[in-house]
Amino acid sequence: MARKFLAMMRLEKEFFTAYALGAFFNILVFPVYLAVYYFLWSYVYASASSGMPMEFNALLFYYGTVFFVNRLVPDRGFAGSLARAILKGRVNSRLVRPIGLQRQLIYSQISHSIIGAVILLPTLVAAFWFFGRGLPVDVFSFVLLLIPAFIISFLVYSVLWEIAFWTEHIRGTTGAFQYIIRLFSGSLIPLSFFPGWFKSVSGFLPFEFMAGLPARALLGEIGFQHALVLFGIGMAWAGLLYLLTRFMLSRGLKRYSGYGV
Amino acid sequence: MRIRYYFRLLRDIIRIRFAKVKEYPADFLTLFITVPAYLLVTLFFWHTIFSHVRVIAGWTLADVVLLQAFMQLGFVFWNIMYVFPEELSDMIISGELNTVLSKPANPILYMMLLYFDVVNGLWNIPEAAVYFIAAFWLGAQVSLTGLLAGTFLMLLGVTITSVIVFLIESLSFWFGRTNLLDLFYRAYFTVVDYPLAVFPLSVKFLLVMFLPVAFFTTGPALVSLRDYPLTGVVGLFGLSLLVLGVWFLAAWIAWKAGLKRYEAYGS
Amino acid sequence: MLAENVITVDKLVKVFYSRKKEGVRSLFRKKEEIVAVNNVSFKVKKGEIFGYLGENGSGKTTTIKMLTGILTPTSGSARVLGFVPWERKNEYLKQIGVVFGVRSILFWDIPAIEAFRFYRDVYEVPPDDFEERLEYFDSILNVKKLAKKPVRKMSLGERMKCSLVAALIHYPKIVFLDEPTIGLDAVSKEAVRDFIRDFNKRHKLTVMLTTHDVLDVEALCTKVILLDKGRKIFQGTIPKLKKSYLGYKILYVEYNKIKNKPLLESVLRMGRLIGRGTNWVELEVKTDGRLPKTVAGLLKAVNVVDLDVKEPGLDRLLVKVYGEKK
Repeated sequence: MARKFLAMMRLEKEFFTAYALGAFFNILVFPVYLAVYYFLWSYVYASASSGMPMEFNALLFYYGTVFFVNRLVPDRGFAGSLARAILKGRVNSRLVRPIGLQRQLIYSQISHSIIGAVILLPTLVAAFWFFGRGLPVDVFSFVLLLIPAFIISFLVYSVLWEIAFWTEHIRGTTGAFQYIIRLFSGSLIPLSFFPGWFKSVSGFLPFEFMAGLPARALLGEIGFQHALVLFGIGMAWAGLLYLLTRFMLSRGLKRYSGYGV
Repeated sequence: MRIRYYFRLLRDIIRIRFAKVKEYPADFLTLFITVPAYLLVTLFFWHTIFSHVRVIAGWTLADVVLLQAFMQLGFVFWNIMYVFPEELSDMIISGELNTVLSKPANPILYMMLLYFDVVNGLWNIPEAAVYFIAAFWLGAQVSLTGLLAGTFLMLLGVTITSVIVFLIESLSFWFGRTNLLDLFYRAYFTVVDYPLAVFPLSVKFLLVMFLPVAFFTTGPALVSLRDYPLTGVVGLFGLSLLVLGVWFLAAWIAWKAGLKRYEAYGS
Repeated sequence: MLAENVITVDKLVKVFYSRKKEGVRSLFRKKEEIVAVNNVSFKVKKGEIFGYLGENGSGKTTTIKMLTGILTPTSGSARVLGFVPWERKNEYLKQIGVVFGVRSILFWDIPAIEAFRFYRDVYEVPPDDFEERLEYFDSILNVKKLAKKPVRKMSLGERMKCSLVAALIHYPKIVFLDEPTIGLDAVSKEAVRDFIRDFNKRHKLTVMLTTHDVLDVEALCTKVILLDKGRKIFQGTIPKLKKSYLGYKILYVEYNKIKNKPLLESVLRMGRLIGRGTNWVELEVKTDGRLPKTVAGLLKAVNVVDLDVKEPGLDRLLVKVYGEKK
């Protein structure tokens, strides 16, 4: 299994270095993104009529972390490309390999994430340097909660691409889910900015694990013991989602026509 | 310019798009799930922001919702007419461009027709309508001529953005898959929701020239508002035409040079 | 009346540039020159079916892409139907058809008939002519019923048939076929060949065909060009090709009794033994006078039941040509 994983990771590295210009620009976009939020929120904070749920610096560091986490975990692009593969019958070659389809996909995504983390880590460090110093940064809780973040993202988007076995296009469904995920994951703005009822609703959904919780953990808002509890809840969500995706995959493959070359 | 010829092809493509809807009726219906989901998310987001502030850089909630309305209207046209620039990089890398270049039609117009998707833009229409209604209900003070002028400016903004996308994708003639479009879109869609007034002058310049959201959302919303001065309207239109001209020239040069270089990957 | 030249190619060259990958140092890659087509010249007459053969990477597809205007050559000239192909004038493109192997020009999600109608308008085919042409294509390829099926639900052979129809619906003067039978079963290949032959006969269609399938070449081509590493190494008819490179025939003898074993062994040494069984032998014999002596010797050595003298297939020839070069 390790050899298969390393083979897939090498494939990702080759893919990545083959298009070096893309790698270079991937590093550039992060400060652009952060700069936009800096200007927007500095205006909001200056005009704010009531106390804000988060300090300005903490908010900027939060955004920096959310961006980093969103690059590590599988996203809508992952779902879209798999859905297209089902439509074009290009899943055939994956199905005949002596390794399960889900395992192939998760290996591929893990290798993608490792490469992404290596490239973007300096930018997260820079965000910390400019906005995160003085905050009770908790790296251990952050790393711990990255695990359910990755797994839940993988499984949520797997549910979406597996819908392609029935609809053959998932444009509408992923579009809708993408907006919901952005909101409930805290990628749009931290959930602490929303009213109490909204926060309660989001507590019953797995989406905050995908970005918001790891970001809050890094900010020191959670604490390691609470992070352990959240880790357990996250893995429970992962288990439920895994059962759902396995069920959908087994049904979907029965339907799969494997359209010709 | 063979106008009748291209209109005939357009008619064929529209027929083909609706034929696809017949093949995937469930998929078409799920597009309408996106409409209420997107409305829910963005209206709620802005409501939450404005629960902490009453005005952002002179913009009220009504003004910001009007900005969102123009954005959705812009997507109607973008999703119908301007999907093809996004496909250019894939076509270059996979060699699919061959099938375009070997046809007796202008390659850019032909690609535009191939990817012309009436169905794709339909679902933005109810969204735009809801936003416009919400903006009026919240008290946005607009004029009819202003709305028309704003729509025209928004069309220019959509065109400028598509020309930039085309230029970015043309870089694949030299560099293969660059992922630059992904980065452009991330930056663009981070900023497009917000009025330009929140940013300092230097950033505004960047957002006018390189991420032309000014002509897509902020400008049209401003132009529609009753109290926006005529000189400002004229200035925005003039600036948009200048920006369009600059990017169009750059994209044209890149396309011509790229075609010469085209290596037609694969067979 | 002599047929006119519809394709004239003169010293065509195409150079590609590739960058060597060196791991992380790939950011600072060196450029490497690859000469895909190297000073190729030829002429094709109207109505010829012309095979353009070579190993993978010999420059076949690159040449087709230059002649269809997709690529601009590095140097050299070409005229097709009087046009310079890479100027890509509409008047030129309307007169050519192109099929690139498995790359389909149909619309994946919907019935092929929609693509036929679309290309009818792309090439401005009058509606009456369109119906008539569909009837013709249906008579040979049985596409009318097939065309109502979504493309994604077709087999490869069905898709190729429909792709051919889409590429020829405007009755071009020249068609460039790049591996048109790749991946097809024997029956589908034969159907495609029959179709090309019939279309060529009826409409004096000039065909430039690249293929790895020697049966396509033997069944269709009046003339062939052989390419090796971008250079032309042969141009002419297939018999002339065989004579130039082979100079031997295949002799097959079946017998029911060996009359003189030592004589048999001595006769077999006159050629190159390809195969042998308990009651048959097959050998290559040079056509330099040895063939009649070998036949005479075998008639004396064994009780002949069956005897066959045939020309070697094109596949053997190509193996010999490219094998020797290696």
